[in-house]
Amino acid sequence: MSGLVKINNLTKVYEKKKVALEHLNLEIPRGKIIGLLGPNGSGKTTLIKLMNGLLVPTEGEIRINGCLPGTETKKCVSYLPERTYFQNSMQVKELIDYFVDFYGDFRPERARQMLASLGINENAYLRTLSKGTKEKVQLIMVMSRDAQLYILDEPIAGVDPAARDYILKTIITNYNENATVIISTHLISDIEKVLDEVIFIRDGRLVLHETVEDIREAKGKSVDAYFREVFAC
Amino acid sequence: MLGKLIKHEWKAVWKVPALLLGILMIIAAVAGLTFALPIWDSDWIGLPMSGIMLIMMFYVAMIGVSLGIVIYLAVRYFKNMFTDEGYLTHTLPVTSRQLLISKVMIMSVWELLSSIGVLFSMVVFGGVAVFSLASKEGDFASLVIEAMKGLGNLWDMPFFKDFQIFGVSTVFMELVSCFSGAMIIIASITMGQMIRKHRVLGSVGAYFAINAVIQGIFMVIMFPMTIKMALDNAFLYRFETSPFSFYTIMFTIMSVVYLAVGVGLYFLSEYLLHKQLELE
Repeated sequence: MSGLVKINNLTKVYEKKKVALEHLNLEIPRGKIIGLLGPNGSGKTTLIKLMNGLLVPTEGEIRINGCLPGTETKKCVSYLPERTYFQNSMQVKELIDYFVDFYGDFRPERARQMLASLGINENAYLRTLSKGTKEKVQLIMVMSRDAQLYILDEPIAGVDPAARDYILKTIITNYNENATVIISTHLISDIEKVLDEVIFIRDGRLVLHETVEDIREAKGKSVDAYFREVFAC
Repeated sequence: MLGKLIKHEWKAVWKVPALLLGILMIIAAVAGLTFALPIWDSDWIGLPMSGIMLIMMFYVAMIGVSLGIVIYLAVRYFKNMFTDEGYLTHTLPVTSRQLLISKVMIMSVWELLSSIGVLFSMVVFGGVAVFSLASKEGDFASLVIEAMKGLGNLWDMPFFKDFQIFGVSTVFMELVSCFSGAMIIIASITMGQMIRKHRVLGSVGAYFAINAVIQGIFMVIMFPMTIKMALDNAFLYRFETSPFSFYTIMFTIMSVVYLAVGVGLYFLSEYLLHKQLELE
Protein backbone atom coordinates (compact mmCIF):
# COMPACT_ATOMS: atom_id res chain seq x y z
CA MET A 1 0.00 0.00 0.00
CA SER A 2 1.38 3.42 -0.91
CA GLY A 3 2.37 5.90 1.77
CA LEU A 4 -0.17 8.35 3.07
CA VAL A 5 2.34 11.15 3.51
CA LYS A 6 5.40 11.71 1.35
CA ILE A 7 7.93 14.33 2.31
CA ASN A 8 10.56 15.17 -0.25
CA ASN A 9 13.64 17.26 0.48
CA LEU A 10 11.68 19.46 2.88
CA THR A 11 13.48 22.52 4.19
CA LYS A 12 12.11 25.32 6.31
CA VAL A 13 14.22 28.35 7.11
CA TYR A 14 12.74 31.03 9.34
CA GLU A 15 13.82 34.62 9.52
CA LYS A 16 17.39 35.30 10.51
CA LYS A 17 18.45 32.10 8.72
CA LYS A 18 17.18 29.83 11.50
CA VAL A 19 16.97 26.39 9.90
CA ALA A 20 14.06 24.45 11.40
CA LEU A 21 14.01 21.57 8.91
CA GLU A 22 16.77 20.59 6.53
CA HIS A 23 16.33 18.35 3.48
CA LEU A 24 13.91 16.04 5.25
CA ASN A 25 12.75 12.93 3.37
CA LEU A 26 10.10 10.75 4.88
CA GLU A 27 7.29 8.40 3.94
CA ILE A 28 4.51 7.77 6.42
CA PRO A 29 2.35 4.68 5.88
CA ARG A 30 -1.38 4.23 6.40
CA GLY A 31 -2.97 2.54 9.38
CA LYS A 32 -0.23 3.19 11.94
CA ILE A 33 0.21 5.11 15.15
CA ILE A 34 3.47 6.96 14.83
CA GLY A 35 5.41 8.86 17.44
CA LEU A 36 7.12 11.99 16.15
CA LEU A 37 9.84 12.34 18.72
CA GLY A 38 12.64 14.74 19.33
CA PRO A 39 13.94 17.20 21.89
CA ASN A 40 12.57 20.73 22.15
CA GLY A 41 13.38 22.80 19.08
CA SER A 42 14.07 19.76 16.90
CA GLY A 43 11.52 20.78 14.27
CA LYS A 44 8.51 18.63 15.24
CA THR A 45 6.01 21.46 15.39
CA THR A 46 7.41 23.07 12.25
CA LEU A 47 6.93 19.79 10.38
CA ILE A 48 3.38 19.50 11.68
CA LYS A 49 2.53 23.09 10.74
CA LEU A 50 3.89 22.51 7.25
CA MET A 51 1.73 19.38 6.92
CA ASN A 52 -1.29 21.47 7.85
CA GLY A 53 -0.50 24.35 5.51
CA LEU A 54 0.11 26.78 8.36
CA LEU A 55 3.63 27.45 7.10
CA VAL A 56 5.04 27.58 3.60
CA PRO A 57 8.13 25.43 2.92
CA THR A 58 11.34 27.12 1.88
CA GLU A 59 12.23 24.16 -0.30
CA GLY A 60 10.82 20.72 -1.07
CA GLU A 61 7.26 19.51 -0.68
CA ILE A 62 4.81 17.48 1.35
CA ARG A 63 2.14 15.38 -0.28
CA ILE A 64 -0.75 13.91 1.67
CA ASN A 65 -2.80 11.47 -0.37
CA GLY A 66 -0.87 12.80 -3.34
CA CYS A 67 -1.93 16.41 -2.77
CA LEU A 68 0.03 19.40 -1.56
CA PRO A 69 -1.33 20.85 1.72
CA GLY A 70 -4.52 22.71 0.80
CA THR A 71 -8.26 22.36 0.69
CA GLU A 72 -8.18 18.68 -0.31
CA THR A 73 -5.73 17.62 2.41
CA LYS A 74 -7.60 19.61 5.06
CA LYS A 75 -10.69 17.51 4.32
CA CYS A 76 -8.87 14.37 5.42
CA VAL A 77 -6.46 15.64 8.08
CA SER A 78 -7.64 16.14 11.65
CA TYR A 79 -5.20 18.36 13.52
CA LEU A 80 -4.80 18.97 17.22
CA PRO A 81 -2.44 21.91 17.75
CA GLU A 82 -0.56 22.44 20.99
CA ARG A 83 -2.68 25.50 21.74
CA THR A 84 -6.42 25.92 22.12
CA TYR A 85 -7.92 27.52 19.05
CA PHE A 86 -11.51 28.15 20.12
CA GLN A 87 -13.39 31.40 20.00
CA ASN A 88 -14.25 31.88 23.65
CA SER A 89 -17.58 33.48 22.81
CA MET A 90 -18.87 30.17 21.41
CA GLN A 91 -20.92 27.56 23.21
CA VAL A 92 -19.85 23.90 23.01
CA LYS A 93 -22.95 23.10 20.92
CA GLU A 94 -22.08 25.91 18.51
CA LEU A 95 -18.64 24.39 18.15
CA ILE A 96 -20.24 21.08 17.19
CA ASP A 97 -22.38 22.88 14.58
CA TYR A 98 -19.24 24.59 13.30
CA PHE A 99 -17.43 21.27 12.81
CA VAL A 100 -20.53 19.68 11.25
CA ASP A 101 -20.72 22.54 8.75
CA PHE A 102 -17.10 22.38 7.66
CA TYR A 103 -15.95 18.78 8.04
CA GLY A 104 -17.89 16.17 6.13
CA ASP A 105 -16.27 13.40 8.20
CA PHE A 106 -17.25 14.87 11.58
CA ARG A 107 -19.49 12.62 13.69
CA PRO A 108 -21.50 14.83 16.06
CA GLU A 109 -23.08 11.89 17.89
CA ARG A 110 -19.61 10.61 18.78
CA ALA A 111 -18.61 14.07 20.04
CA ARG A 112 -21.80 14.37 22.12
CA GLN A 113 -21.23 10.94 23.61
CA MET A 114 -17.68 11.80 24.66
CA LEU A 115 -18.74 15.20 26.02
CA ALA A 116 -21.49 13.54 28.04
CA SER A 117 -19.05 10.96 29.42
CA LEU A 118 -16.94 13.83 30.75
CA GLY A 119 -19.98 15.70 32.05
CA ILE A 120 -19.36 18.70 29.81
CA ASN A 121 -22.52 20.68 29.24
CA GLU A 122 -23.13 21.47 25.57
CA ASN A 123 -24.69 24.78 26.54
CA ALA A 124 -21.54 25.89 28.34
CA TYR A 125 -19.64 28.82 26.89
CA LEU A 126 -16.04 27.97 26.11
CA ARG A 127 -14.80 30.96 28.10
CA THR A 128 -16.28 29.39 31.24
CA LEU A 129 -14.33 26.13 30.85
CA SER A 130 -10.98 25.50 32.51
CA LYS A 131 -7.87 25.19 30.35
CA GLY A 132 -7.79 21.42 30.88
CA THR A 133 -11.45 21.01 29.94
CA LYS A 134 -10.97 23.14 26.82
CA GLU A 135 -8.09 20.89 25.80
CA LYS A 136 -10.31 17.85 26.28
CA VAL A 137 -13.10 19.44 24.22
CA GLN A 138 -10.59 20.18 21.50
CA LEU A 139 -9.34 16.59 21.52
CA ILE A 140 -12.94 15.33 21.37
CA MET A 141 -13.62 17.52 18.33
CA VAL A 142 -10.48 16.30 16.58
CA MET A 143 -11.08 12.62 17.37
CA SER A 144 -14.76 12.81 16.37
CA ARG A 145 -13.73 13.05 12.75
CA ASP A 146 -13.32 9.98 10.54
CA ALA A 147 -10.11 11.41 9.16
CA GLN A 148 -7.41 9.60 7.22
CA LEU A 149 -4.64 11.33 9.12
CA TYR A 150 -4.73 12.59 12.70
CA ILE A 151 -1.90 14.90 13.65
CA LEU A 152 -1.69 15.47 17.38
CA ASP A 153 0.87 18.00 18.56
CA GLU A 154 1.82 17.45 22.20
CA PRO A 155 -1.60 16.10 23.20
CA ILE A 156 -0.48 15.06 26.68
CA ALA A 157 1.87 17.90 27.54
CA GLY A 158 0.96 19.86 30.64
CA VAL A 159 -1.86 17.61 31.84
CA ASP A 160 -2.06 15.43 34.93
CA PRO A 161 -1.52 11.62 34.68
CA ALA A 162 -5.24 10.86 34.92
CA ALA A 163 -5.97 13.23 32.06
CA ARG A 164 -3.11 11.64 30.08
CA ASP A 165 -4.78 8.26 30.41
CA TYR A 166 -8.09 9.73 29.30
CA ILE A 167 -6.47 11.39 26.29
CA LEU A 168 -4.64 8.25 25.20
CA LYS A 169 -7.79 6.17 25.68
CA THR A 170 -9.74 8.68 23.58
CA ILE A 171 -7.17 8.51 20.81
CA ILE A 172 -6.99 4.72 20.78
CA THR A 173 -10.72 4.10 20.95
CA ASN A 174 -11.81 6.72 18.47
CA TYR A 175 -9.37 6.82 15.59
CA ASN A 176 -10.34 5.32 12.31
CA GLU A 177 -8.35 2.09 12.02
CA ASN A 178 -7.45 2.67 8.41
CA ALA A 179 -6.06 6.04 9.35
CA THR A 180 -2.65 7.07 10.56
CA VAL A 181 -2.12 8.91 13.82
CA ILE A 182 0.99 11.04 14.25
CA ILE A 183 1.64 11.98 17.86
CA SER A 184 4.31 14.54 18.56
CA THR A 185 5.63 14.48 22.09
CA HIS A 186 8.67 14.29 24.28
CA LEU A 187 6.79 12.35 26.97
CA ILE A 188 7.69 9.05 25.37
CA SER A 189 7.14 6.66 28.24
CA ASP A 190 3.49 7.68 28.46
CA ILE A 191 2.70 6.94 24.83
CA GLU A 192 5.16 4.20 23.99
CA LYS A 193 2.67 1.42 24.60
CA VAL A 194 0.35 2.69 21.86
CA LEU A 195 2.93 3.36 19.14
CA ASP A 196 3.59 1.23 16.06
CA GLU A 197 6.45 3.31 14.69
CA VAL A 198 8.67 6.16 15.79
CA ILE A 199 10.34 8.98 13.95
CA PHE A 200 13.28 10.67 15.68
CA ILE A 201 14.27 14.11 14.47
CA ARG A 202 17.04 16.36 15.68
CA ASP A 203 17.99 19.82 14.43
CA GLY A 204 15.50 19.48 11.61
CA ARG A 205 17.01 16.26 10.29
CA LEU A 206 15.71 12.72 10.31
CA VAL A 207 17.65 10.57 12.76
CA LEU A 208 15.59 7.40 12.66
CA HIS A 209 12.30 5.98 11.35
CA GLU A 210 11.67 2.46 12.62
CA THR A 211 8.97 0.28 14.06
CA VAL A 212 8.78 0.05 17.84
CA GLU A 213 9.16 -3.70 17.56
CA ASP A 214 12.43 -3.38 15.64
CA ILE A 215 13.86 -1.00 18.21
CA ARG A 216 12.96 -3.33 21.04
CA GLU A 217 14.34 -6.38 19.26
CA ALA A 218 17.46 -4.87 17.69
CA LYS A 219 18.47 -2.56 20.52
CA GLY A 220 17.01 -4.52 23.39
CA LYS A 221 15.62 -1.32 24.85
CA SER A 222 12.38 0.52 25.21
CA VAL A 223 11.82 3.47 22.88
CA ASP A 224 12.11 5.79 25.87
CA ALA A 225 15.51 4.33 26.84
CA TYR A 226 16.73 4.41 23.26
CA PHE A 227 15.56 7.99 22.85
CA ARG A 228 17.56 8.97 25.95
CA GLU A 229 20.61 7.27 24.49
CA VAL A 230 20.30 8.91 21.07
CA PHE A 231 19.58 12.38 22.41
CA ALA A 232 21.87 12.29 25.41
CA CYS A 233 23.27 15.74 26.12
CA MET B 1 -18.33 26.65 1.83
CA LEU B 2 -18.32 30.42 1.30
CA GLY B 3 -21.92 30.62 2.50
CA LYS B 4 -21.01 28.70 5.66
CA LEU B 5 -18.02 30.93 6.31
CA ILE B 6 -20.19 34.03 5.92
CA LYS B 7 -22.84 32.57 8.22
CA HIS B 8 -20.36 31.77 10.99
CA GLU B 9 -18.51 35.06 10.57
CA TRP B 10 -21.77 36.95 10.93
CA LYS B 11 -22.76 34.93 14.00
CA ALA B 12 -19.38 35.58 15.60
CA VAL B 13 -19.36 39.30 14.88
CA TRP B 14 -22.87 40.80 15.05
CA LYS B 15 -23.39 41.16 18.79
CA VAL B 16 -20.79 43.81 19.67
CA PRO B 17 -21.48 46.26 16.80
CA ALA B 18 -25.24 45.86 17.33
CA LEU B 19 -24.80 46.61 21.03
CA LEU B 20 -22.69 49.69 20.29
CA LEU B 21 -25.24 51.00 17.80
CA GLY B 22 -28.03 50.31 20.30
CA ILE B 23 -26.19 52.38 22.92
CA LEU B 24 -25.72 55.16 20.36
CA MET B 25 -29.48 55.26 19.69
CA ILE B 26 -30.16 55.58 23.42
CA ILE B 27 -27.64 58.42 23.74
CA ALA B 28 -29.18 60.11 20.68
CA ALA B 29 -32.65 59.92 22.21
CA VAL B 30 -31.41 61.20 25.58
CA ALA B 31 -29.55 64.08 23.89
CA GLY B 32 -32.68 64.91 21.89
CA LEU B 33 -34.81 64.82 25.04
CA THR B 34 -32.72 67.58 26.60
CA PHE B 35 -34.72 70.00 24.44
CA ALA B 36 -37.80 69.10 26.47
CA LEU B 37 -36.09 70.17 29.68
CA PRO B 38 -36.77 73.66 31.03
CA ILE B 39 -33.10 74.58 30.97
CA TRP B 40 -32.62 76.52 27.75
CA ASP B 41 -34.32 79.72 28.89
CA SER B 42 -32.64 79.68 32.29
CA ASP B 43 -30.83 82.81 33.46
CA TRP B 44 -28.08 80.69 34.94
CA ILE B 45 -25.63 79.66 32.22
CA GLY B 46 -24.88 76.33 33.93
CA LEU B 47 -28.20 74.78 32.94
CA PRO B 48 -28.07 75.36 29.16
CA MET B 49 -24.37 74.42 29.31
CA SER B 50 -25.21 71.03 30.80
CA GLY B 51 -27.69 70.51 27.96
CA ILE B 52 -25.00 71.39 25.44
CA MET B 53 -22.67 68.93 27.17
CA LEU B 54 -25.24 66.16 26.71
CA ILE B 55 -25.52 67.00 23.03
CA MET B 56 -21.72 67.02 22.80
CA MET B 57 -21.74 63.59 24.40
CA PHE B 58 -23.92 62.39 21.53
CA TYR B 59 -21.43 63.83 19.06
CA VAL B 60 -18.54 62.07 20.80
CA ALA B 61 -20.59 58.85 20.95
CA MET B 62 -21.11 58.97 17.17
CA ILE B 63 -17.36 59.12 16.62
CA GLY B 64 -16.68 56.60 19.39
CA VAL B 65 -19.15 54.03 18.08
CA SER B 66 -17.91 54.34 14.48
CA LEU B 67 -14.33 53.97 15.63
CA GLY B 68 -15.21 51.26 18.13
CA ILE B 69 -16.85 49.10 15.48
CA VAL B 70 -13.87 49.47 13.14
CA ILE B 71 -11.41 48.60 15.92
CA TYR B 72 -13.53 45.63 17.01
CA LEU B 73 -13.65 44.27 13.46
CA ALA B 74 -9.91 44.79 13.02
CA VAL B 75 -9.11 42.96 16.27
CA ARG B 76 -11.52 40.18 15.33
CA TYR B 77 -9.78 39.75 11.94
CA PHE B 78 -6.34 39.70 13.57
CA LYS B 79 -7.33 37.23 16.27
CA ASN B 80 -9.28 34.93 14.00
CA MET B 81 -6.62 34.79 11.31
CA PHE B 82 -3.25 35.18 12.96
CA THR B 83 -3.40 34.16 16.62
CA ASP B 84 -4.37 30.82 18.22
CA GLU B 85 -7.80 30.96 16.55
CA GLY B 86 -5.98 30.93 13.21
CA TYR B 87 -5.03 27.30 13.83
CA LEU B 88 -8.66 26.37 13.30
CA THR B 89 -9.44 29.04 10.69
CA HIS B 90 -6.58 27.97 8.43
CA THR B 91 -7.19 24.25 8.79
CA LEU B 92 -10.78 24.47 7.57
CA PRO B 93 -11.16 22.87 4.14
CA VAL B 94 -11.67 26.21 2.41
CA THR B 95 -9.49 28.29 0.12
CA SER B 96 -7.70 31.49 1.14
CA ARG B 97 -9.97 33.31 -1.30
CA GLN B 98 -13.13 32.03 0.39
CA LEU B 99 -11.77 32.96 3.80
CA LEU B 100 -10.83 36.43 2.67
CA ILE B 101 -14.10 37.09 0.83
CA SER B 102 -16.11 36.10 3.89
CA LYS B 103 -14.10 38.49 6.07
CA VAL B 104 -14.27 41.36 3.55
CA MET B 105 -18.01 40.93 3.06
CA ILE B 106 -18.91 40.93 6.73
CA MET B 107 -16.56 43.81 7.52
CA SER B 108 -17.89 45.87 4.59
CA VAL B 109 -21.48 45.20 5.60
CA TRP B 110 -20.75 46.31 9.17
CA GLU B 111 -18.98 49.43 7.95
CA LEU B 112 -22.12 50.22 5.95
CA LEU B 113 -24.45 49.37 8.85
CA SER B 114 -22.30 51.52 11.10
CA SER B 115 -22.65 54.51 8.75
CA ILE B 116 -26.39 53.95 8.41
CA GLY B 117 -26.64 53.56 12.19
CA VAL B 118 -24.81 56.83 12.83
CA LEU B 119 -27.01 58.58 10.27
CA PHE B 120 -30.10 57.07 11.85
CA SER B 121 -28.95 58.19 15.29
CA MET B 122 -28.93 61.76 13.93
CA VAL B 123 -32.49 61.24 12.73
CA VAL B 124 -33.40 59.92 16.19
CA PHE B 125 -31.70 62.89 17.82
CA GLY B 126 -33.36 65.38 15.45
CA GLY B 127 -36.74 63.67 15.67
CA VAL B 128 -36.77 63.53 19.45
CA ALA B 129 -35.47 67.12 19.61
CA VAL B 130 -38.22 68.46 17.31
CA PHE B 131 -40.84 66.45 19.16
CA SER B 132 -39.54 67.81 22.47
CA LEU B 133 -39.54 71.36 21.18
CA ALA B 134 -42.96 71.06 19.65
CA SER B 135 -44.35 69.87 22.95
CA LYS B 136 -43.25 72.93 24.83
CA GLU B 137 -43.63 76.62 24.38
CA GLY B 138 -40.94 79.26 24.64
CA ASP B 139 -38.79 81.57 22.57
CA PHE B 140 -35.96 79.12 22.12
CA ALA B 141 -38.29 76.40 20.95
CA SER B 142 -40.05 78.55 18.40
CA LEU B 143 -36.69 79.80 17.15
CA VAL B 144 -35.37 76.31 16.48
CA ILE B 145 -38.63 75.16 14.92
CA GLU B 146 -38.59 78.19 12.62
CA ALA B 147 -34.99 77.42 11.69
CA MET B 148 -35.92 73.87 10.79
CA LYS B 149 -38.81 75.08 8.65
CA GLY B 150 -36.38 77.42 6.95
CA LEU B 151 -34.17 74.49 6.03
CA GLY B 152 -36.96 73.25 3.78
CA ASN B 153 -36.84 76.43 1.74
CA LEU B 154 -33.10 76.03 1.10
CA TRP B 155 -33.67 73.47 -1.64
CA ASP B 156 -35.12 76.13 -3.94
CA MET B 157 -31.94 78.23 -3.80
CA PRO B 158 -29.49 78.18 -6.77
CA PHE B 159 -26.82 77.03 -4.31
CA PHE B 160 -28.45 73.61 -4.16
CA LYS B 161 -28.51 73.10 -7.91
CA ASP B 162 -26.98 69.71 -8.84
CA PHE B 163 -27.55 68.48 -5.30
CA GLN B 164 -29.31 65.32 -6.47
CA ILE B 165 -26.43 64.08 -8.61
CA PHE B 166 -24.13 65.01 -5.75
CA GLY B 167 -26.28 62.84 -3.49
CA VAL B 168 -25.91 59.91 -5.86
CA SER B 169 -22.13 60.34 -5.97
CA THR B 170 -22.04 60.55 -2.17
CA VAL B 171 -23.99 57.30 -1.81
CA PHE B 172 -21.70 55.65 -4.36
CA MET B 173 -18.63 56.88 -2.50
CA GLU B 174 -20.05 55.65 0.80
CA LEU B 175 -20.60 52.17 -0.64
CA VAL B 176 -17.12 52.10 -2.14
CA SER B 177 -15.64 53.42 1.11
CA CYS B 178 -17.20 50.56 3.06
CA PHE B 179 -15.39 48.07 0.84
CA SER B 180 -12.11 49.99 0.61
CA GLY B 181 -12.17 50.83 4.34
CA ALA B 182 -12.54 47.14 5.14
CA MET B 183 -9.80 46.28 2.65
CA ILE B 184 -7.39 48.84 4.10
CA ILE B 185 -7.80 47.28 7.56
CA ILE B 186 -7.56 43.71 6.30
CA ALA B 187 -4.56 44.44 4.08
CA SER B 188 -2.79 46.39 6.85
CA ILE B 189 -3.14 43.51 9.29
CA THR B 190 -2.20 40.93 6.67
CA MET B 191 0.86 42.92 5.55
CA GLY B 192 1.81 43.44 9.19
CA GLN B 193 2.21 39.67 9.56
CA MET B 194 5.21 39.85 7.25
CA ILE B 195 7.09 41.62 10.05
CA ARG B 196 7.29 38.36 11.97
CA LYS B 197 8.62 39.66 15.25
CA HIS B 198 6.51 42.84 15.38
CA ARG B 199 3.24 41.88 13.78
CA VAL B 200 0.99 44.46 15.48
CA LEU B 201 3.48 47.26 14.93
CA GLY B 202 3.81 46.12 11.32
CA SER B 203 0.02 46.29 10.89
CA VAL B 204 -0.17 49.81 12.30
CA GLY B 205 2.73 50.88 10.11
CA ALA B 206 1.10 49.33 7.03
CA TYR B 207 -2.18 51.14 7.84
CA PHE B 208 -0.47 54.53 7.89
CA ALA B 209 1.59 53.68 4.81
CA ILE B 210 -1.49 52.67 2.79
CA ASN B 211 -3.32 55.85 3.82
CA ALA B 212 -0.27 57.97 2.95
CA VAL B 213 -0.19 56.37 -0.52
CA ILE B 214 -3.91 57.06 -1.00
CA GLN B 215 -3.46 60.70 0.05
CA GLY B 216 -0.53 60.96 -2.36
CA ILE B 217 -2.70 59.62 -5.20
CA PHE B 218 -5.43 62.13 -4.33
CA MET B 219 -2.93 64.98 -4.33
CA VAL B 220 -1.53 63.99 -7.70
CA ILE B 221 -4.99 63.71 -9.25
CA MET B 222 -6.84 66.51 -7.47
CA PHE B 223 -4.25 69.26 -7.43
CA PRO B 224 -3.94 69.79 -11.21
CA MET B 225 -7.68 69.38 -11.59
CA THR B 226 -8.40 72.06 -9.02
CA ILE B 227 -5.86 74.41 -10.59
CA LYS B 228 -7.30 73.83 -14.06
CA MET B 229 -10.81 74.52 -12.88
CA ALA B 230 -9.70 77.68 -11.15
CA LEU B 231 -7.82 78.85 -14.26
CA ASP B 232 -10.84 78.12 -16.44
CA ASN B 233 -12.83 80.22 -14.03
CA ALA B 234 -15.24 77.35 -14.01
CA PHE B 235 -14.57 76.54 -10.40
CA LEU B 236 -15.12 80.12 -9.28
CA TYR B 237 -18.21 80.46 -11.44
CA ARG B 238 -19.69 77.22 -10.28
CA PHE B 239 -18.91 77.86 -6.66
CA GLU B 240 -20.80 81.13 -6.79
CA THR B 241 -23.86 79.31 -7.95
CA SER B 242 -23.54 75.72 -6.67
CA PRO B 243 -20.46 73.85 -5.47
CA PHE B 244 -22.12 70.47 -5.85
CA SER B 245 -21.15 69.74 -9.44
CA PHE B 246 -17.50 70.19 -8.45
CA TYR B 247 -17.92 67.98 -5.42
CA THR B 248 -19.69 65.39 -7.55
CA ILE B 249 -16.64 65.18 -9.82
CA MET B 250 -14.35 65.09 -6.81
CA PHE B 251 -16.32 62.36 -5.05
CA THR B 252 -16.51 60.30 -8.23
CA ILE B 253 -12.74 60.47 -8.67
CA MET B 254 -12.25 59.60 -5.01
CA SER B 255 -14.61 56.65 -5.39
CA VAL B 256 -12.68 55.34 -8.39
CA VAL B 257 -9.37 55.70 -6.52
CA TYR B 258 -10.77 53.99 -3.41
CA LEU B 259 -12.23 51.19 -5.53
CA ALA B 260 -8.94 50.65 -7.38
CA VAL B 261 -6.98 50.68 -4.12
CA GLY B 262 -9.48 48.30 -2.49
CA VAL B 263 -9.29 45.82 -5.36
CA GLY B 264 -5.48 46.04 -5.41
CA LEU B 265 -5.29 45.45 -1.67
CA TYR B 266 -7.65 42.50 -1.98
CA PHE B 267 -5.37 40.69 -4.42
CA LEU B 268 -2.30 41.56 -2.36
CA SER B 269 -3.95 40.18 0.80
CA GLU B 270 -5.03 37.03 -1.00
CA TYR B 271 -1.51 36.47 -2.27
CA LEU B 272 -0.01 36.98 1.19
CA LEU B 273 -2.52 34.64 2.83
CA HIS B 274 -2.00 31.96 0.21
CA LYS B 275 1.76 32.14 -0.26
CA GLN B 276 3.25 33.78 2.81
CA LEU B 277 1.17 32.54 5.73
CA GLU B 278 3.26 31.83 8.82
CA LEU B 279 1.35 31.31 12.03
CA GLU B 280 3.36 31.78 15.21
